[in-house]
Amino acid sequence: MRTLIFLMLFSAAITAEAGAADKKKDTAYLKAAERFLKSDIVKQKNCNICHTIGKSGGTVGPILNQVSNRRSVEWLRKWLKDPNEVKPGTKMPNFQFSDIEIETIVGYLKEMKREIDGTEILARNSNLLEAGKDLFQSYDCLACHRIGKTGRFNGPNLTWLGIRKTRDWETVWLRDPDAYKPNTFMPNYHLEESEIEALVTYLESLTGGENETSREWESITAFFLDARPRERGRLVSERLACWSCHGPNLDEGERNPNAQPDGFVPPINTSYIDFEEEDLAAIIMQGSIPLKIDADGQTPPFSCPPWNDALDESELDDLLAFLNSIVPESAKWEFE
Amino acid sequence: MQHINFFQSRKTILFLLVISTFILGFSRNSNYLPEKTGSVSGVIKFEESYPKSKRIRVSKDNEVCGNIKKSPTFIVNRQNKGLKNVLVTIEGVKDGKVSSPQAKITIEQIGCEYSPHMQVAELGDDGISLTVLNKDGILHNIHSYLGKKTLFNIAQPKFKKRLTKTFTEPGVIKLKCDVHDWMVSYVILLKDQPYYSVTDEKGNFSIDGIPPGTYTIKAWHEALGNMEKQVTITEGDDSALDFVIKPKGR
Ligand code: HEC
Ligand code: HEC
Ligand code: HEC
Repeated sequence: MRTLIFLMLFSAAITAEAGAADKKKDTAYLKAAERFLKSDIVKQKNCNICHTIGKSGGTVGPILNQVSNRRSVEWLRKWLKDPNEVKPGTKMPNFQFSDIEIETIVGYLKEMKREIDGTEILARNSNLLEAGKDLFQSYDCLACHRIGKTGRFNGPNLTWLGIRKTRDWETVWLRDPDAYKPNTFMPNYHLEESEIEALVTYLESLTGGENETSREWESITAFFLDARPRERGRLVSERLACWSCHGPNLDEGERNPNAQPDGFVPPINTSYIDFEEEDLAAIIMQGSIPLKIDADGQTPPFSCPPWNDALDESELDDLLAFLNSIVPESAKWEFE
Repeated sequence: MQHINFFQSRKTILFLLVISTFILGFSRNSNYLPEKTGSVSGVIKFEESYPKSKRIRVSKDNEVCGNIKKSPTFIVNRQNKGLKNVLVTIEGVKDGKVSSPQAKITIEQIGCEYSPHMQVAELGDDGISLTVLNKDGILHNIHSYLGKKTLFNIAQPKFKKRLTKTFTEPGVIKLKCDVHDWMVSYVILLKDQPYYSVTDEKGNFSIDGIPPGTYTIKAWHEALGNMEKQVTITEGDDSALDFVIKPKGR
């Protein structure tokens, strides 16, 4: 079933064409980005070592160009004042900005904003799918997310979203992410219902780029066939979203009340050495239901689903190779 | 105004004098007799095979950071397989040496590495101040953790040569740079614990001045965690004790 692997491949259309109508506005935002890059703030504080501003920059944080389309001025002020207060543990450091500096930055971020007219976007596209793709691009969802090899790492990889989520779920999510999952970092775009409908149609089409035939996709296919098992295994784990329970780096599980041993989904970055390979394969293929801490208490909300329907043998091997590759050196040794 | 202030401060000084003689009198432990103590020493080493320290490819700021870095987690001596940077402590010593807290410690960021990679300090009641020097002239951030919790995460832009932070709680503090994610350092703050040693290049440690008795001896390493053993100290003797490290699951 190598086709499944192709399923996991990438949709390149996202980056391909920016509508001709957008061209003029595009250069306007790039000019604003250029000014921000030349400002004392960026020159002295090097925001672009972690963020892409304009066309280039780092990949640690989200692409900043369209941040004013997703964050309010109040939110930006709070964030720049103390990121850790907004998102505990974030990699973005506190620059101990003065209020004037914060206003300066917010000003630059506002200048880079491209106005988005949802009605116009819906009207200029012939169908919902195209409109959804257009909106996805206009709102710059890839500032945090990834499809195929484009985008960033500050939100889940959406390449296979259509396989693992439903229209209804996506609709509820996009209406108000924070209502669904309090304190989530996913911004609320305050979208119109018609925009949500189009976006969801596009999101549902994301099943790994099977139908894409662009040049970029072909080159990725070639890369993929040459890739090492552990790299293919990483893609398998992203397709199946193991991170959604086991944590973004698979090293820190979600809360799972009343689940043995500690009320959390276990990390799996050390599973390869914690288990014999056959046992590990069996857990993954057949799933596992956690025991309760308090026998009379609630059933833990999460258990590990059986993945045998979603994986063929060679993909399981790839996944095991990947799990082997992520075991930290520190976990391989112990005091006698 | 001045007059009153002067009067008040004289009173304060007097008060402090009285208090400090009290504290000194108690803290200089009268039961501690250095000549009636023993010591413990040993090696912390790998049994057979040992990890080669991982090499890390540098993908940004290469002019300053270079192209390849070595992971500082396992620094193993090729001859005796001894492991550097293991903290060894003797727990629960009564009537022993008295802790001599430090007021400040320093760490440098140089060539996109922390120097030192690990340091241990004794923490007093007033806390300890950590000075972070940036010799690189590029942006680093200092993200400090106690366990999984972020204590602070502050940027040190290129022109900012030094910054200072104060710690008041003991524990293992991990410092990390999110720009250059291989940069990791450990600062261990001990409270009322003068009995410690950090292994050298050959994995050697030694602790002296321990009153005779049986104690728990604890080893801690950033990647291996804790290990405890019992050790008996006799007067005038050096007890030998080693810790051995082996691959997990064997
Ligand atoms: C060490 C890397 C790093 C540096 C340096 C950095 N950031 Fe960030 N920034 C991040 C990360 C990571 C996030 C996303 C938060 C997360 O996922 O934890 C972020 C998020 C943001 C956001 C919110 C983005 C959004 O889409 O919600 C803004 C605005 C921002 N940073 C501005 C700046 C500015 C301005 C500077 C320079 C003064 C800067 N950052 C420097 C890492 C960094
Ligand atoms: C500032 C970063 C950021 C931006 C920009 C962003 N997202 Fe997200 N998104 C996230 C994060 C973080 C999550 C994970 C939420 C969580 O678990 O707390 C997420 C989750 C999602 C999910 C659920 C994924 C899953 O598999 O569970 C969907 C769908 C989604 N985002 C769609 C979008 C769309 C559509 C846009 C653009 C309109 C967008 N996102 C823009 C950060 C972002
Ligand atoms: C819906 C949440 C969820 C998802 C998604 C999920 N897991 Fe799990 N997983 C769990 C839970 C809960 C456990 C604990 C089961 C138990 O205690 O018996 C677990 C346990 C495991 C274990 C055993 C770990 C241990 O130390 O006990 C492995 C290995 C594992 N999962 C692998 C995976 C892989 C690989 C994926 C992706 C293909 C995945 N899981 C996706 C919830 C999930």
